[in-house]
Amino acid sequence: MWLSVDPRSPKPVYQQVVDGIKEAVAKGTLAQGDRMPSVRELAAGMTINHNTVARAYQELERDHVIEVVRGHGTFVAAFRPHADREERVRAVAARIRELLIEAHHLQMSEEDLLALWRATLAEWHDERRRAQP
Amino acid sequence: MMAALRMEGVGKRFRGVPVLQGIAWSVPVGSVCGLIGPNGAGKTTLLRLLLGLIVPDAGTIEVLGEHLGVENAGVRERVHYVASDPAAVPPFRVGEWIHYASLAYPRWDAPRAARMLDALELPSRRLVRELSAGQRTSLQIAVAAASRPDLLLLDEPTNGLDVLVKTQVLQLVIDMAAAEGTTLVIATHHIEDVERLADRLAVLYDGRLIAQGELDALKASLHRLQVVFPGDWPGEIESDPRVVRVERQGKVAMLTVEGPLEPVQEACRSRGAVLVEPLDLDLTDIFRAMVEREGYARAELRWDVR
Repeated sequence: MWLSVDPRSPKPVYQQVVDGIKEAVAKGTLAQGDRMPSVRELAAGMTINHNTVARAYQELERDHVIEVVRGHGTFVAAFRPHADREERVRAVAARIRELLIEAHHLQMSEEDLLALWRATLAEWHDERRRAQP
Repeated sequence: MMAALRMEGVGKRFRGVPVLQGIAWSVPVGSVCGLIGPNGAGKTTLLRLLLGLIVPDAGTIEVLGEHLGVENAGVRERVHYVASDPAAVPPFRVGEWIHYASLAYPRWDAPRAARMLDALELPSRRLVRELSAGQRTSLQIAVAAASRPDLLLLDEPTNGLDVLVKTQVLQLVIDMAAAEGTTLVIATHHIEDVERLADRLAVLYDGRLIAQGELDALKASLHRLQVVFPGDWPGEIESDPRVVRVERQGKVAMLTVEGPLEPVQEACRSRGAVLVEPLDLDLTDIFRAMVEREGYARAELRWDVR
């Protein structure tokens, strides 16, 4: 299955489902307009709690990752700009700062960090290419 | 939210010995509640009370909106109980067992029963007592699904099942819950099943309910912190009420912390800790921390100690 969760992890299962689906969309495993499994199908397929899946779907819908079309099902949504985009971009910047601090304590130079960034990016593009049919 | 079951001040004694005391418990409709506790904590007694099979000495029990009394016939039709490997098995064949069950439950779904027997590979000509323990559990699950209960109580449902049948059984019950909104209570020792299937948790210890609530909230209520104090061990850390357990080995200590982690991290740093690192805590660790806080201790068994 393209989605997997680890119920043993301290990260709540609903969050793992949200993150997993967001990753699948970012990688192109799931494309805009693709039909999502129903809550019931996903819960039974992965043997996880259905209310947990429903909660993840609600969050993904709020985040415009998926959309529910009444009477038709749930689909991967078309891209829509977030109303709170600026705030979220600031949050991304805050995470970059956290990485800078961690890198400093590992005695990584700026060049080391940029090299790691490029290597990770290359890996990511590779994964994306493999994920798309 | 409506409660599928609610208990207030429930107590039960057997031959004068208290088995359950002061139980206040509720499970909302449509949720899946894991019920865990050490052996002999009273899990089965709790489930049997919900069926009206035994009567509490104290307190009130409400199931699916009805107070349990002496009769409870209406509730019985909507509540189903599955025990792992029932002890006494009448000399029925699988088909006969299904037939008698169909008479007992007014909402019986015969096509579903037939599909389930097929999917679980239970031949209707076989004698029930010749089935393996796993097949007997499967048969009970088939009966449970076909009786279309509003509340399904599962007592150690996956005991004795091989991993394939176990997955099939768990998928089936979660599918029932998702499709029909069946409320599930799963008493089990398999904490990994609870982590997968449940959205709520109730922890029973020595006849008392020591924790209950949403699984994610309970998981987030306890944390583990690894700290290193290069100097003297600051004794006040041990008396901090937020620190429920301390394991020390030399300069390294493992703290189990209740509630938010940051204040305790700060307290450790201000007392000279050089390393303060949060570590993952899974439900097994949390369960152990909860029962140990109540005084549960189990000595390590060694075969060579005289």
